[in-house]
Amino acid sequence: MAGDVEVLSTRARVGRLGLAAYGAFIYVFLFAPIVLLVLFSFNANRYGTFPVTAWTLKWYRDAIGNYQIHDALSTTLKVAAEVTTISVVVGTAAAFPLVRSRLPFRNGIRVAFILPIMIPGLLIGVSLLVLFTGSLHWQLSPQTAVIGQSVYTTPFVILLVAARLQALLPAILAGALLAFTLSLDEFIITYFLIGDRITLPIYIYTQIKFGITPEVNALASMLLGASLLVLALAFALPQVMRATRRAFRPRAGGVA
Amino acid sequence: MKAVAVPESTATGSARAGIELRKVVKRYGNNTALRELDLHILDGEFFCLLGPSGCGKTTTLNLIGGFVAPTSGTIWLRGKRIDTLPPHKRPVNTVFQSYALFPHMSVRDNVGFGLRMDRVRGPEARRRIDEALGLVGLQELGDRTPAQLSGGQQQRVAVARALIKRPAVLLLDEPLGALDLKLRQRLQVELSQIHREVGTTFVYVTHDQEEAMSMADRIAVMNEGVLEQLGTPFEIYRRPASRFVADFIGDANFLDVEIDGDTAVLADGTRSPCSGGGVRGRATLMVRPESLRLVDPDDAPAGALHGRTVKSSFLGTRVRVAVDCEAASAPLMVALHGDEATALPEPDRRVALWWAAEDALVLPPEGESR
Amino acid sequence: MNTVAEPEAPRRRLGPASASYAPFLPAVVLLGGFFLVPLGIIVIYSFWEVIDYNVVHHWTLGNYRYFFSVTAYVKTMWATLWVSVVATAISLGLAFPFAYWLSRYVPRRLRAPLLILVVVPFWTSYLLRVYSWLTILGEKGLLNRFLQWAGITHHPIGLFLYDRSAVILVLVYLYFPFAALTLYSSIERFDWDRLRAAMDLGATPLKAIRRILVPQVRPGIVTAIIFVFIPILGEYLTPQIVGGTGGVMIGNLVVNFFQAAEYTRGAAVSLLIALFILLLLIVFRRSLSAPEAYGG
Repeated sequence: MAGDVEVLSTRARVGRLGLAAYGAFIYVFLFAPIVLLVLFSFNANRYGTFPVTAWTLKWYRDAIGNYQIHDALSTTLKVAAEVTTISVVVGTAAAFPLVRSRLPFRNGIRVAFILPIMIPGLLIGVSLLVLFTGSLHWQLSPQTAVIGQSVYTTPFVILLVAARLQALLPAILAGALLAFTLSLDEFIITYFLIGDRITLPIYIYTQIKFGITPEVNALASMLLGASLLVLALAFALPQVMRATRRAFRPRAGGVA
Repeated sequence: MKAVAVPESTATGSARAGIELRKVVKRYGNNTALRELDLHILDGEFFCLLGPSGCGKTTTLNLIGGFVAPTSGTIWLRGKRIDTLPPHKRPVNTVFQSYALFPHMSVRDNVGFGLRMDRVRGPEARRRIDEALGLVGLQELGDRTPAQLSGGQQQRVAVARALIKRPAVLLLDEPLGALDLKLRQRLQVELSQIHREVGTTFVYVTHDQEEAMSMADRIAVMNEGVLEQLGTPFEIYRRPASRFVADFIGDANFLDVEIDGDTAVLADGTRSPCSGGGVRGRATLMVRPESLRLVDPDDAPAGALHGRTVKSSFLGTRVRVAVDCEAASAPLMVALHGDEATALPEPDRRVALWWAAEDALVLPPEGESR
Repeated sequence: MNTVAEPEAPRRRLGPASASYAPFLPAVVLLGGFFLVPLGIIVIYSFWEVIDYNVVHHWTLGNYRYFFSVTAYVKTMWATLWVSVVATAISLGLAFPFAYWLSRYVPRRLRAPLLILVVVPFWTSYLLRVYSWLTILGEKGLLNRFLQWAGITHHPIGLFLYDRSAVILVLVYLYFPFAALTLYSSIERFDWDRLRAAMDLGATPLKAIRRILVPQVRPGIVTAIIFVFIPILGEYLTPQIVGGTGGVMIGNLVVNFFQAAEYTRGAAVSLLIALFILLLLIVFRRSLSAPEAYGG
């Protein structure tokens, strides 16, 4: 009932149409830059923007053949794998007592665990930089970046797993997916902590400091495609699992 | 709608014409919620819209309140057309089923909201808020928030809030639906008293026939977007216009009969008295359980039905006996009151049933009720 | 808990209790050792000084004094606050009607897909979303190239990039989904009968929204403000990529100090950001601790 409240006057009806048009505008605003980016990645024009002179796959070939990108990609994936492992193990372990037990200071602990989400990544990056180089005198490397990223991703895993302890495996999988995605994308912490190595976001950043390049357009489009694929899988997986379970257990009386 | 009796005094323009719906149709996509509804509600009456869920009663209320626009047709209030006005410009106020109180405001601010919208302030506003709270007996609770009130108190705040602007019409959408039976009965009495005190037209939507019967001056029984019957509670109970109405209001026994003059021929050939002429041929005979007389088969008058008792139940104020007759497809229900009900008739006893002609109503056969 | 079942064995009470703290240990090491400790170090650093590229343990307010003595830095600080306020206001201003439309007028079965569409850009890289605006704004961006191609102008118009408004535009783009999701989940629980009741009592639709809807979704609005404002305060990439010299924010100052090995000055500026966040949380403390959205 509440959803289909209808108001009368033509003015109200115009307002309602206006709102729908506004909703459409929001989606254009959200997707236009991304769509244009992908469009221009197929554009032969070497400025990587308007006008489209001819369609080409040249920029994709360039990006795929670029050894710097290979290097950055392998560093990114290694870092992401380690970050995912650390944050899932640490996060899942911490989620249990946070929800299950009646510990003293539980709320204090909860707030302390969630603080890294509330603090801009920039502050995490610089404070760890000071710790590693100023106090501990460690050499910056992908490993120090892994620690920095884990500080940022673990609270997300704690929150996610603590929210759905009943369905532990899906919660852990979702936490892993989230940690992995956040790690792939993380820039500022990594920028401070990785030393002279580069990840994909840092590679892209060094390229675009000086403007648009069609090769980055192509690389960006591939990354967009990959993250959409992961997102689609994340949505499809629970459905597939549920369907499989139903297929194997045709009459699970009352088990939701 | 032959059964709808429209008193002459309700003609448009006369002093008593309250709300008038003329040929109002409401469709949602392919679903028709209302098909050509004509309705006159008199000024000052307590009017009930009664029917099962999905019958169109809430749609009717929303049409009057202005929350829903008619697909076609017009709505008039005291001779002025209102269906083109937005809700905030209609002299109509609503008590919502969920009460829809404003949780971030005190009871006084809730009740005074309508005045504030009309820029009535200061002592005048205070006086009217006190008056409205007094009307529902909540003078002491003005400073509380809705969350600190019981369900019944919240309901009273909703009534006070809706009445403070002295609307021409008060719409009430199942306002007692969320309350338990005892409280509901008490508030039914209170609402009737408030209605007498303020004299405003009340249009009350409910699916509870007892609630409608106990409060309404007149009831409109609706079903599947159509007005089945409009009348006083007495008329609707005693002279239902269709099998649906007879079934929805109170209990009823139905018999398939053939009408021959002023007698009804039952399935087994018994010729029984009946009333409600005009119908010929195949018809449905309706008899209320309390109109059936249980008699000794040996003393039975001509036209009585013979059968066997199936089950007797003691129900406090009455005894209900189910009787299996050859003349009826389903067991007939007989209600015994007072002295009659002193002993439970034992099962499987031969009995005869008999009724007075004025208690057996001839209805159009099922499926042709409109 | 075991402890409750065995009150007569007080010695063993410590066992189960410490056992239930044990799973916290890795998280305490990670977040304590690599989050809280470094933050503490930053606080201390901000009161030390750097001499000849070495941090000297010499207590001083010099870093703060220095920051406030340079007009450009102070201007940048105010500009950052201004950009954060404006970008937050626009994000919420755009998100509120959107969330209202989605939860009131969009049929239920369409809401989930439309909501997912809002979140999708969220799952694509943050850096790429900033970058995608370069293809539109900027000297060689779509807008300039189009104008030149159409013959309206012969020289690129700088207007479309490298200034504060470009930064605000991109920040709004980045944080709109945050605001929209938070507001939607709050408005979605609102009982629309209350809005109808207000209109029934004589309020115009806009008045009903202002007097009834907005006060009741205030917790959601505050959450949205916090979740948009805080990350914007610490923004580095957006001003760096689309802001040019005109769009510098306080985060860029932090990075510059650290890259120049001016650790103690950088620490002081970082602490200023943390201070603003703390102030924001104090301002909204009351709204946050207020009972969660009035029941349905």
